[in-house]
Amino acid sequence: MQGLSVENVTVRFGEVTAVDAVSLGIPRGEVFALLGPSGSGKSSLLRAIAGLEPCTGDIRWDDESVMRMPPHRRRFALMFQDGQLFPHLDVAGNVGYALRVSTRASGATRPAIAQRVAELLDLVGLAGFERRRVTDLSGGEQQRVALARSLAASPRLLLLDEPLSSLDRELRERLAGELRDILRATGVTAILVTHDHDEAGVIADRIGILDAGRLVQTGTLAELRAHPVDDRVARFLS
Amino acid sequence: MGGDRDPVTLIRQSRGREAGNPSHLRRISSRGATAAAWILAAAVPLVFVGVFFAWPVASIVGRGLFPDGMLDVAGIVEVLSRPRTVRIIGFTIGMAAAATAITLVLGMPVAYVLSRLRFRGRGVLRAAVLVPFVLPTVVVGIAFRALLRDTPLDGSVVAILAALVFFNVAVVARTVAVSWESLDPRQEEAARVLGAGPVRVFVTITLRRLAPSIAAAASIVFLFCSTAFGTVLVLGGAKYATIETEIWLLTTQFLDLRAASVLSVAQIVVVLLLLVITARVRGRTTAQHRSFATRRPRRSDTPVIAATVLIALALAVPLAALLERSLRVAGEWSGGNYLALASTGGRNALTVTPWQALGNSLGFAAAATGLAMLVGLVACVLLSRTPRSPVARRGLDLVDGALMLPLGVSAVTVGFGFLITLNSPPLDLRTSPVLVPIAQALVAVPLVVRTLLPVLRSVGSRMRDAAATLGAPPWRVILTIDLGVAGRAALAATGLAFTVALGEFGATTFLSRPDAATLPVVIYRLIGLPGGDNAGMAAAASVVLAAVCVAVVALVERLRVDTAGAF
Repeated sequence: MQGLSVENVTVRFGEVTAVDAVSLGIPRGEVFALLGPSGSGKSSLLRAIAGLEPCTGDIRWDDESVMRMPPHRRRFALMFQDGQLFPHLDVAGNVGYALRVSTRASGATRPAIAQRVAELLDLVGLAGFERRRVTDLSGGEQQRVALARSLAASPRLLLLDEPLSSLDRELRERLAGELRDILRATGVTAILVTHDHDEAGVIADRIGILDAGRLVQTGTLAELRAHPVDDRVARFLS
Repeated sequence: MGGDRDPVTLIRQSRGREAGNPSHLRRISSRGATAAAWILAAAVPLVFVGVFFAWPVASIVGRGLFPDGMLDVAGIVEVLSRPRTVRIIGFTIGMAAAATAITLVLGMPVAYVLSRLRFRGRGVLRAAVLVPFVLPTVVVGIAFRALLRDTPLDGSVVAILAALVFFNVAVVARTVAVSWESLDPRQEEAARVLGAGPVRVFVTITLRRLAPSIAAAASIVFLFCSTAFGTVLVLGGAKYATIETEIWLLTTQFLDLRAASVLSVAQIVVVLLLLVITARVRGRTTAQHRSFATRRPRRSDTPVIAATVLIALALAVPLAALLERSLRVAGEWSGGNYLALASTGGRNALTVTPWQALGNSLGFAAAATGLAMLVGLVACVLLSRTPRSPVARRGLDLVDGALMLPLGVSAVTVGFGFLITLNSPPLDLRTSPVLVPIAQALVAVPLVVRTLLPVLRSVGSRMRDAAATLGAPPWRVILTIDLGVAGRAALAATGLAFTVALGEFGATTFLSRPDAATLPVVIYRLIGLPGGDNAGMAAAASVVLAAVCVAVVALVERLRVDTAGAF
């Protein structure tokens, strides 16, 4: 299959099973939302896909297993809930980070990097912010920088871990629309982790519902609402 | 940006095919290589501390305690029951305890002013308080002799106590100030509203919450006081001996290795106990502390401000006395002592001129700093990780503890240990000048680690995860994230390590050869010889050495890193 396939993936922390035998397929170019209440294992699954959490089962990209690949070789960029911007670098330093450190990018010249950074900042609505300190930015601006930084890596798969949940509601709703447009414009394959079904509905093509570590149902928001597999899903989506 | 149509990706894919390298094999080997790299990294500090610290110290101790391969119990008892030994151990502990108590009392008002109040000159005060701490011990000794000359206090216990307090006020002031800054003043306000008076609030709320940092500062000051060598040697002369000066006397003058070893072991036991207590109290500190807004001074702050000003002035007095002494020849104002720095002293007391010695000192200190930073950086990157496996975590705690040991173990023991272990194959370095910077680096490494580690620990593992998913291999994460964030702290640590190496006296006095003597060694030699000219020269040389240290501190302070918070 072209794209990501997750087969029977289980993540355990000692006795606790955070992700329980999850299987799912995401074709290239699709934006998929993992939706579930807190503690349902969404973030653990995302970290396992990124290679940051040991797991059993198989994770493949274009039919090639990435299980033995360390995170930096997978080309699955992860954007954190709180951005995790590098405080010692300015905006351009953060956004251009992947272009400077990745072995794939070796040979990229300074002007080429600067131009790419400018394009990305333009894309996320922060044109001209290159020399600003990341610690001086607002929460929304920081998340835009984090998004631009993740996109700069030209990831095959973009993993978004509750990218908007640290923002206030009004900003969150506005950014959700923008995020959808940016993901469409770049055509990147993405997994969005969220506990907000409206946000999932706005941004994602398809939604998977995770409950207590198990993937209980997948479909579009309309499909899930029309035919919830059980009462818990129905209540969660209402 | 369409995923795999990216040109860089296409290049990489074609490269991969050319190599015909089954990708999973390459990845397995890269995982093994990562583990090997970590083990190698752990080996750098462990081998350094093992070869240049544990081995020399162990062999000194072995020679003293196991003279014929058997534990010489009768000999140990004999040494410990000598009246002189009992007196010296008692004096060392009593004096260190008294100096610690006085230092705590004097350090607290300074800590309060530095952490809570906002005023012009706060940065200058911060830096000024740090100056005594980075001065070479020999220089502090000479300064107090210059101050107390021709008074009954010269050569008294009071002089030693005063010098030790002078040296350590910075440790208390700055360690406590760092945690005072992060106390929420609203808790004190809440207690006031509930009806507690200011004294009661201070005792029941503030002191109680500062207790861990006060305890940490107290134990480190006690450690410095009880192992002080240069200051005590210069001020105490033959009359007052501490364990450290006695070890020196026993090894160099009486060649009584057994007694020296017993004293070394006694000191190591005390130091180990203290380090364990300090580690317990301190816990795993990180540089992430909240800092509450400082406020303008109020009228009620007057006593504290007055006390702080007095303390700051008192810290300046010995240095002023040193400067004055250096400018007098036979009682008259003169620059003659400085001119004499180009000579080898009255009656050719020296093999090299003080200027040449300064050159030697700078060279050795530079080499020592490089070595200390290499070992310290590798150790800190390692210690800042939190591995999944409990065995690896325990291993890291071991490395952490091992690196702190040189802080407290007698520098004299280390220096003498070098002479008896590193003089035969496989490692014959006795005739090589590298021993001096190695010994100095050993003393500087704990300071480097305590400065860098909190900053590196403030880099969360998720920030490293973010860098990894952006395509940075582990070594690039270290270079661009860890060292990027810790860059300024690393510069500050470099400066501190340099001043420590520059002033190191205990071990250097054993290791530096007369034709390559360092400035502290030359200064000590000058005051040991009769003649007013030599004492004046020693004062002038001390001023020069102090000036270099102050210049380095001024540079470090400009970096605004919480250096003393590291203890």
